[in-house]
Amino acid sequence: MNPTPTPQTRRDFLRDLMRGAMLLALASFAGGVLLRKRCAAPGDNYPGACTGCPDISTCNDPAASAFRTPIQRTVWQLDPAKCIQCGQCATDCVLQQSAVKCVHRSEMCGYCKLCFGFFIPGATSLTSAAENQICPTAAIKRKFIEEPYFEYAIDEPLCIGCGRCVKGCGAFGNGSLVLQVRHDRCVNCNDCAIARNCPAQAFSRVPADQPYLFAPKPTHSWKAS
Amino acid sequence: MMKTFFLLILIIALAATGVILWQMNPCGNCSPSNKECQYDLMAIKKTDTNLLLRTHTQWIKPSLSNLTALVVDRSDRIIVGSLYAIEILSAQGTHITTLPLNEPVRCLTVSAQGDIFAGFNDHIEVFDQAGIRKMVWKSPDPKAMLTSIAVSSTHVFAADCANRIVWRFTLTGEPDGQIGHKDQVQRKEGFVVPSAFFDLALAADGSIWVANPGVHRLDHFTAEGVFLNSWGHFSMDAKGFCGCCNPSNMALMPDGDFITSEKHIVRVKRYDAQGRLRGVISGQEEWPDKAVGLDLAVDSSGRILVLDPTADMIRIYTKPVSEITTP
Repeated sequence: MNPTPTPQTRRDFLRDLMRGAMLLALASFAGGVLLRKRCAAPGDNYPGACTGCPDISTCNDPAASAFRTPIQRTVWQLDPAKCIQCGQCATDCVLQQSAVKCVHRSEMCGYCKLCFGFFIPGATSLTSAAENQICPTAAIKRKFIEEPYFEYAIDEPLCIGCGRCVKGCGAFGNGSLVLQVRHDRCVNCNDCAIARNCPAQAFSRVPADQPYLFAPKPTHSWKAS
Repeated sequence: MMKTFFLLILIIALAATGVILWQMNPCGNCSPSNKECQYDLMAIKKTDTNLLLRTHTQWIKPSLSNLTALVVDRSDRIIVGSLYAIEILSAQGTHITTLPLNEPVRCLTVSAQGDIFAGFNDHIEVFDQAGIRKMVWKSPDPKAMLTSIAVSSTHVFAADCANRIVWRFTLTGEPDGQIGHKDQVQRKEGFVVPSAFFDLALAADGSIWVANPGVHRLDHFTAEGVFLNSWGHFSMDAKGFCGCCNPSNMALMPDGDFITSEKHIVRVKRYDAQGRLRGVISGQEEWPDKAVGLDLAVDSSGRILVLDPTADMIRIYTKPVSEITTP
């Protein structure tokens, strides 16, 4: 005669469920620790030991897939080597004031008295008078260092990203001014309005951990050598 | 009636909103469609055709690429330097020999005896006419960057763009002074060299002319380094020198005229001995926008040789045959 099975109470069912879940969590944790240890100790002498891959994201072991980093985050950036300074960055951004700003690479700057990123080509005098400046918002600050050298700095809140200074510096100077998307402002739209309209196709997505693109230093610049 | 009135009010409101938004545009008047906001470089770079000198142009293609320096010796042989070699060509451009090197040549000159002096980043090496290395001179300064070199019967002069001075050496390579330091009277700014173009040329009387590109000038010194005078000024038009720093290169004609080349607005010009513009030999229209490093040389017959690093060629400008007068 078979004994009548005792019906499982709801309490027992929940207790078993919790035990199972905890066991599963414990097993996952232990496996993870083991796999991390394997990958963290190149040269370990046991079957399947880590062979010394540089990081877990490139590990060939299928078991390591659980620990790979998620898809790398990307951001928009503009390649100065392709940029033609058309001026559209100033107007096409969804932000009221464009996220594209002029960036000054001071290590390439000639500290010229006559800076074409600052002055219009036909400037009547080399003073900071508004009529002499190429920047429509006077976003470049000029500071005397010693005769005949001047330092130039960008006042970013004033910069609208029109690129006129970049064009002047590139055409008549060392090219130390470049346009870049500033990531403290950029909202990283899926479909960047500037990228969509850029006539030079200078916009692309770049890894978020390397968010800025600078043109290679020109070989003729002694400062670059 | 009321409907029309409201429609009118709506149109006016929309128009007013449009005007207000246009005024609030953070870019002010700076839009791509606004012609006042355009920065038209081509208009600035256009050559005044009235200033063009009538010249005949030839091209020579050396076997080397990545050309960096050019010089002509006493027998009008053409010598070009590149990243890893020096090539010697006949006056007509026929290959004679190539001297392999381990590092890029930045500048070249040839002595009256035919020895080739090659300036590298921080030192000078001397080769004989056959290309055999005779001497390797000690660097005057590890930070030096030699961009031009000239040799007289007693001294070698080398322009150093990193230290912004001209080094003077004996013919055996011993440093023998510096030329071009700042003074408190005539040359308060010294040499101003924003980029690696700092040229010099030896005059027939033994004095030297040195380009001072940051102040758009050519400075004249005795061989002992005493400042004599200068000429040159900034201007976007052809009379002066344009951009942040020009002339980038210079050479002296047998008659004392100056040949200069500029970057930014790429042009080769001829000035008389007093610095008055004679005319434009070659304007921007003949060159790519980014052409830089147009080294210059002049041979005994007055041919003007211009290094074209963008095409790895040498352009030779001569007077048209009809204009050559025999003395």
